[in-house]
Amino acid sequence: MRLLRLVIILAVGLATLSAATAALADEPGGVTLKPIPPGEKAPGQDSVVLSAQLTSDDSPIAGMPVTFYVVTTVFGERLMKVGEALSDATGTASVLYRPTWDGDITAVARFGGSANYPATQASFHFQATDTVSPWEPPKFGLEPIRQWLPFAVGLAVLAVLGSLGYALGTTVLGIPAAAGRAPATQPLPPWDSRVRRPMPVGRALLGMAVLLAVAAVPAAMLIGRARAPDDVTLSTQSIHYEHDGMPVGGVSPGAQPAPLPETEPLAATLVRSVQTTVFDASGQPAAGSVSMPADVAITAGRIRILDANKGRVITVTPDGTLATILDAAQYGDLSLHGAEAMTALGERLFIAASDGTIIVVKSSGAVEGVIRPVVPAGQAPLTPGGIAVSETGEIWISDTANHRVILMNDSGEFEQVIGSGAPADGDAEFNAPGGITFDDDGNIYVVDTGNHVVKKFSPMGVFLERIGEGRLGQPSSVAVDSDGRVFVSDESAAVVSAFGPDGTYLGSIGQGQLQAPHGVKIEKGLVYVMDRLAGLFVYEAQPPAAASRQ
Amino acid sequence: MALAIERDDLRAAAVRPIVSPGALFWPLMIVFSMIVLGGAVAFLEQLQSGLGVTGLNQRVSWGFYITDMVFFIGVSYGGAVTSAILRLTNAPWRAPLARMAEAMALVTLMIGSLFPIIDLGRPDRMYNLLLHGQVGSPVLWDVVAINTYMAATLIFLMLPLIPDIAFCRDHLGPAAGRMRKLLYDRLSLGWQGTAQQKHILERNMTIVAVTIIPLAVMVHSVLAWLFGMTVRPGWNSTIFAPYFVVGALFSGVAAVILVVATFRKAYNLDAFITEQHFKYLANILLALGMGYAYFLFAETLTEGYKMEGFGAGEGSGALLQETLLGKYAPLFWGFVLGGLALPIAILALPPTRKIPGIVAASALVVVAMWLKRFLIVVPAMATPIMPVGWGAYFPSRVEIAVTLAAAAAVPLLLMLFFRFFPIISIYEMEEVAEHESERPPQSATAEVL
Repeated sequence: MRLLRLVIILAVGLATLSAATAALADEPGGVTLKPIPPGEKAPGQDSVVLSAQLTSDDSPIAGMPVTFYVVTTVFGERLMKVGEALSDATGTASVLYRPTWDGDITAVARFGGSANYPATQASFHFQATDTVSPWEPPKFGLEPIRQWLPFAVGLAVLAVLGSLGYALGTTVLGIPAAAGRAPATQPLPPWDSRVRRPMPVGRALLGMAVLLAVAAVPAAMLIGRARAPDDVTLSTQSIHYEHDGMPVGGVSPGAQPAPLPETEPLAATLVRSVQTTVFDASGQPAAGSVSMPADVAITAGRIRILDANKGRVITVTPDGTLATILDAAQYGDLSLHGAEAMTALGERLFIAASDGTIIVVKSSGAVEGVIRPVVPAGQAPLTPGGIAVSETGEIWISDTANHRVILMNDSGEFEQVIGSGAPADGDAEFNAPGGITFDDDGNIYVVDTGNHVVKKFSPMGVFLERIGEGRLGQPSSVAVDSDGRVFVSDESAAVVSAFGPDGTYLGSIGQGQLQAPHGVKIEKGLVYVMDRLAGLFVYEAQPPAAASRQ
Repeated sequence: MALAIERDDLRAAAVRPIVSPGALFWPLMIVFSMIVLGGAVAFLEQLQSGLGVTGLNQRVSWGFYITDMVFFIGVSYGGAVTSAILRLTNAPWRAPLARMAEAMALVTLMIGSLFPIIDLGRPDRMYNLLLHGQVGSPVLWDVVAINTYMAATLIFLMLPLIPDIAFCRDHLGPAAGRMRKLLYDRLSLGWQGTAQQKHILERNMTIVAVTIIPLAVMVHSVLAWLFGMTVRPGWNSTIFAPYFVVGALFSGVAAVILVVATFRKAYNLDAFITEQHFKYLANILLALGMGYAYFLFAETLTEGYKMEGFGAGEGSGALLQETLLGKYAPLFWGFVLGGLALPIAILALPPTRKIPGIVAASALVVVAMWLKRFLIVVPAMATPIMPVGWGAYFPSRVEIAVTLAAAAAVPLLLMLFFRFFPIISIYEMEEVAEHESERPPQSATAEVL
């Protein structure tokens, strides 16, 4: 009896298993999209055929939409849609594409998935040759007009000049020739007795010269000082960058360059360096490479780099390779192009976009939120050069072009403004403020780039002291370690200079390694320096007790 | 006999700035010279340090300087064309105003044409434009047009000046001093007022007057095309050329009124420049103001109807939004209300249609038209044409100083000019009086003189 029951159980189990297996066999297997690169282009043919075959378990899938893209590098790497086609009975979908540039082209075929089949995509390369420019020749016979128009206009100009020349010539030559007898000396009419003798021209000119000379001094004082030639030569030491029409760099147009400061080495060990930018033969950042990185921050134990020229955030993986975690181009209304600064708070990145928007990014790279500053009516838009966010959610922004530092809340409303809005060097004034940070006590440090100092303020925004006077050329960013040491990146001196809590110059790090240091951050005692050209450098500065002070 | 007395009065009045410039002449010269010198020092600073000392930047690379260029050339255009049209239509009331209008045209053109050079970071490379200029570039068209127009304006001013210089030569004589006498001798070209000389002069004045009108239209059209042929929100417009031409006339006539009113007051020319002259000019200004308002409406309506843009907050739609309701709204509505509506009302309503009202309306128009040029230049430059956010511009003290210097240079140069040449065209006044006296008696000579 027990045996019979066992047999029945086994039989039912087997039946269930076989039914389940049969059911699984009906499920679609792995879907693949096999690209079919275009063949040789026939002479005179402009377009190529991009194809891909959609199969499941080697069986063609018909009637499914496949979208084709090509990878463009205009305005950063992105996919440009070529077209969409339904797969035919052989599972093949094809679109026509007319390449507009020669060389290697990367194409992507993408199947978005359906109820029965999962999404998949594949990419492939092909060489485009003899491509046709996207600029089409005029179709309506305008070419002759274009060719002859300059001549017609030129003739009109000549006609005008001719008539003017005729009028002038006949006047200058004709009037003297048409003169009659020499004029008799005419008696002065009665009105002449009513006027005085005019001032002779020579005396009038002399008077004007004296007048101008006298006026020159107050005018020069009124307008501002004319600079000595020595100052001008120093302007070559300032480093300015730009990209896509956006200025990058801390110094405002009106800022005066400072002499290169003397620097002395500070004992520090280079812990790590990462080359972020790969340059091509012409000295420009290679396609796809990081270009002009602006700042660095650490979240989730990973190094995040603000790739200002490409408008993205990349991360340094443990094996040292670079990977994009955020490409702002994927968010229609956001842009990181030209962004100058970012900071980390916990697991979040706060990035100050060039239009003043603050983008909050999770450590995964997903955009968590956006804070749009509420700029009071009549004020210029923000031009952030630095950002610092406190644990309590206070956001400090240095507004470079408007020469002020702003405290705003997480709704973007201004709560406090330091600075007059015009370049100045008072205690609570700035000339193109750049990087901004806090120390452990909540004091605020602002790089006053145009005045070549760092200004320290209390948590309430009261000025406390100047740091680095005479020691900084073109400071751009600042960070403070747990010992109160202030590290300031100096783009013109190409070093990061360190100052003690009392403002004493301690020395500089990065001589011979850094080229254009910009962003500086301190994490777990290490100094992270983002150099726009040379890449990322991580130093371990010797502890204060061991470091020699000056 | 009455005519003779009036003629003597006219001659005395015309040379009054030469022989008796007034107590305020030198103080004003000092003030204007200082302002001009301040601008020159500022420009030297810019030459030495580069355009970094201006508020111009990568995004907004045209600012005060280009605004000034369009403004001053526009003012010049108004002065020359007004005079030319009135001359060709033989309007007798033009005679006492023509010299001032033509001198102002030359002076403002000289100042305006400096601004493209001032706007260059390296003005010394200007010669590259001549060496390698592209025929298809509106910049080259502009250089040709402005220089041709300057030559025409100079000749236009010079021709009716010849008999007046001869008058100074003959009547101021030794009393004028050696240098003035030399100047008058050379520039009067041996004028004796013979019939043949008059014939040559009249014919050539007509030729230049006919030439200068289309030339001036073209100059300002080319200036407009400098913007209109750029694919940029706010500039990408087909009506820019006539829009600019009418705008130039509008500001130019207003400036003529200001110049005429100022010198009339300073040199006591009330007998020759009456309230009626101002009313005639006010009529022209009123018509031009309404024409400009029409163009403004047409431009705004078509842009606003389309509201084009490639994304939120970008493109010409966004520019219009910013102009009408955003950060440029105070400037725009300030222009519309203060520079168009209010002057039009002042000029149209009989109680305010007096000399003070007309002068006030003209002053409003001149200031507002500068503002309008700023609104044409800067917001369009600041508008993003890629998704990178709005640009920002604030003029630096250097740009402000240079702009103030240009404004001060206008009265300075005019005062200097009239220290050497008659402020009223004696020749034309007498010619007009002669023609008027040949008319039936109801056409009163006194009204002209």
